Amino acid sequence: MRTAGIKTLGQWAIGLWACGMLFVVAYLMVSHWVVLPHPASDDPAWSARLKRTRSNNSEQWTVFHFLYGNCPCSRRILCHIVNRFPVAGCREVIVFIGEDKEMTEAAVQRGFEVDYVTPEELKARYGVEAAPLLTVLDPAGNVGFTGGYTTHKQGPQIQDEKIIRALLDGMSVENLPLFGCAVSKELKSLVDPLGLKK
Amino acid sequence: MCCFKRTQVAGRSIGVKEVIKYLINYLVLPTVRSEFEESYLSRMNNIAAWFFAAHLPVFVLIAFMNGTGPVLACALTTATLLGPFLAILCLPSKRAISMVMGVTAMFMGGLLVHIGQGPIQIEMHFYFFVLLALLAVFANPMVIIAAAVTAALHHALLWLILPASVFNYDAPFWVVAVHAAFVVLESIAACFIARSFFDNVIGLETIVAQRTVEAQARSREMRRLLDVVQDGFFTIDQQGVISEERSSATDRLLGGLKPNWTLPEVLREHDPSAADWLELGLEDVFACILPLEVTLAQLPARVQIGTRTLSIGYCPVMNGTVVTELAVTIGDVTAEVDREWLEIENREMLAMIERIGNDRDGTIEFLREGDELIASLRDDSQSDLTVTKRFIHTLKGNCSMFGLQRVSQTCHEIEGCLSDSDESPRDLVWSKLFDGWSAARAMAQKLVKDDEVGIVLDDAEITSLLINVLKNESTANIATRLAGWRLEATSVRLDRIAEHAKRLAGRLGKGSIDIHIEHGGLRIEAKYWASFWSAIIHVVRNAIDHGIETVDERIAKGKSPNGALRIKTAIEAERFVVSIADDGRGIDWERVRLAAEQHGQSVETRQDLFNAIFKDGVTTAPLVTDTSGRGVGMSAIRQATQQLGGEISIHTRANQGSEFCFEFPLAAMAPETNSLFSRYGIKKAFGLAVSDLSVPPLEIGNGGNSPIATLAT
Repeated sequence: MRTAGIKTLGQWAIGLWACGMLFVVAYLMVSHWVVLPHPASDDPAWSARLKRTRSNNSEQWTVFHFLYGNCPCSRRILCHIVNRFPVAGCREVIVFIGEDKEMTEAAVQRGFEVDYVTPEELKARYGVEAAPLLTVLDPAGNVGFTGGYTTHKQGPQIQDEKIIRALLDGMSVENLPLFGCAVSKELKSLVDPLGLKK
Repeated sequence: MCCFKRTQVAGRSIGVKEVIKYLINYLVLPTVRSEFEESYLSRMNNIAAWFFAAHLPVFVLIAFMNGTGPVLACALTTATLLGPFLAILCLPSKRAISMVMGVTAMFMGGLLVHIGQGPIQIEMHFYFFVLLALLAVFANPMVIIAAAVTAALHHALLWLILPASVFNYDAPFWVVAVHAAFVVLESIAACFIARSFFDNVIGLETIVAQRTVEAQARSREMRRLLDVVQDGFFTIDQQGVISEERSSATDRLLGGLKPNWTLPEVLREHDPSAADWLELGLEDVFACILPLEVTLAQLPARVQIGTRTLSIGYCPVMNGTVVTELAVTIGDVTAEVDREWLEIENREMLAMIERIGNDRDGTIEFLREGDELIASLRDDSQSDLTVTKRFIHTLKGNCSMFGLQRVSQTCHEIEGCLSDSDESPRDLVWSKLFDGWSAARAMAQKLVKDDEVGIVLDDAEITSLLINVLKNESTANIATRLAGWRLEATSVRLDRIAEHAKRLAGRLGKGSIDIHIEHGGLRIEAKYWASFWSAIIHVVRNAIDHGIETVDERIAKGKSPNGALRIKTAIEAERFVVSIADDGRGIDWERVRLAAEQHGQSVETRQDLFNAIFKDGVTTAPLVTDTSGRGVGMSAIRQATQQLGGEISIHTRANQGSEFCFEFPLAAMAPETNSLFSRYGIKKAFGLAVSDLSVPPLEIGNGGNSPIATLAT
């Protein structure tokens, strides 16, 4: 009788397991594929906030790379960035959430500026809650581009350089969706309610 | 929609319901599960579980390399592994466990896509398609369906949670359709493979089992049919192995049969010689060298199992010209045999009654001599096989002459054993002989008493003697007449021999033979001549069996269709002569020579040839029959002749006949009476009686007047 009871329990457990796993796997997929929110390029308040963070040299375009150390997508972008030099005529700033001295030092050596921030600071100073986010300001401080680096999730073509050069050439660029990780606590609790991602 | 509701397939109208029913029957396996399927699925489920378990380190490594959290990958993979292992532990159905494996495969795919985040994320999707195909190894379409449904639910859930998640690049509907179509197509193909795998491999045992059940049902029907009949039916192969398919009567008749027992093995327990006979015979039958009718006829047709007599029939089962099996029928013919024996017993009884009526003294003498022979055969101290053979042969001849067929047959059987192996046959056969004789003796006892031997005289003889006395005949003459009463007329013996010869000729297909008796009115002292008369039967039997030709043969030779035999007792040249002459083919001396040489006899002179005829075991007969052919009888007559101080001569000519002459001193005819008379001064050789013989002489070719040889005594 006891064995039969355990088996019945096991059969129920299998049902629960199937439902649970279905949800978990679906959820994991969603967490990858969800297009994360970011401030709109035509948001004047956000433009103003960014203006305050850039240098006084108004002749230059300013490019912000918001990268999160705990986000695989961000690390992929960082690897890509440190393999090139900043685009001529641009000031490129890596706003790095977390710590990765080796990579950030490499970036500095290449001519990038690095600003280490905490998730809270990121939201407070930049108004950004998700990474990796590319934001390009023209010399006037207007947001020329804000969004992701690729056309789709984990897209092999990282388009930051192309976007920057296009903007420098005076062309308009359509914003790309932001795929990556939530950084702020609020956004994390929204897109990762199970706390599976760090 | 109407066109989908009912469509024409091969001239038959098929509705949607039927299609659905067919699909369900195709996808859902039959409920019957074979042991092989259970064993196979058990093995495959275990392999699958450990295959998924092996994902754990791989997924951790991938997560580590892609920075997607090895610890999380480890935890999630472990959670996914819970399903299959729980299923193995808790689910009673192996097929259900397989379905859990299908679901697990999709979960593992989902995990891989998650932890494999990177440029090759799309390649990680291949896992789904590969696993979907691999699931066909479970030989169960429902495993594929379970996996496909899991993938579909997964995508549906994704879509519910995040409508743009599945196709995050704004894919049009047709892309979605293509995406789904690949999964559906692969699922259909995998289902087809799985079902085919089941039908042709995994489920084959079930099909075979079903067919076996059907075959067994048919077999039971057949067996029921076979069981109705009282005969045993079965087949045997070349080794004699008895088929499992047989009628129940087989087991009843042959006793409890063990699996793979051979018929010779079964017979050996009851009748070893029949078993050997069968073993050798089977080799010949299956060798197919000799004609089948010949080899089959050589197999034992009757065996004795305990108290039962069984008849065995054989029918070849042919494959082309090759004998593959023998269909064997066994019947219990005990009652038939008993009836036959009873009939024989009745015949014997009638023959005995007739014999006693005709020749009472002869019958008593026969019984007494038979008793002596049986006593000698019972005597364990008598170990000379030659003597035993002679006794048996004599008993056989006597019994045959007196119509005791059963004892005669048993003697023949014993002779066969003695001749084949030169060893005394089994006690069982001896018992049969002794019991047979006892039965015959008891039967005879009812009809005649041994101590009833006396002299029967008719009135004429008494009157004649009385007149002689009244006429004051000499004492010598009266004594002679009185003594003559006590002697036995040779005519009695010759009549007996003639009667036996006629019966024998009829039995051997020699037609009706003409027998001429010349007794010469002689009388002799019976007790001295009993063994001689017994032995001379062998000469008569040889003459009928080998000397006289068949009717056809005689006609072909221009002879009279009926053979002729002359039996004679006479006084010739102061010698008492007994002769047996036939008008048959004569003795083939060349064959005698060959037969003698085969027995290591040196044959250089005519005397050697003559001696060879009387040598134990030497025979010119091509076949041994129950009448003659063993080379024992002539040896017996020689011994009997020698004991009476006689000589044997043979006159023979090819295709004209043979005559065996046995010559004795006159004194040998009645030695006791002669001795008595001589003590009283009467010089009279008894045996001679004056009688006019009117029997015409038989024309016997004798190669001239001189015998070919004479046996010196």
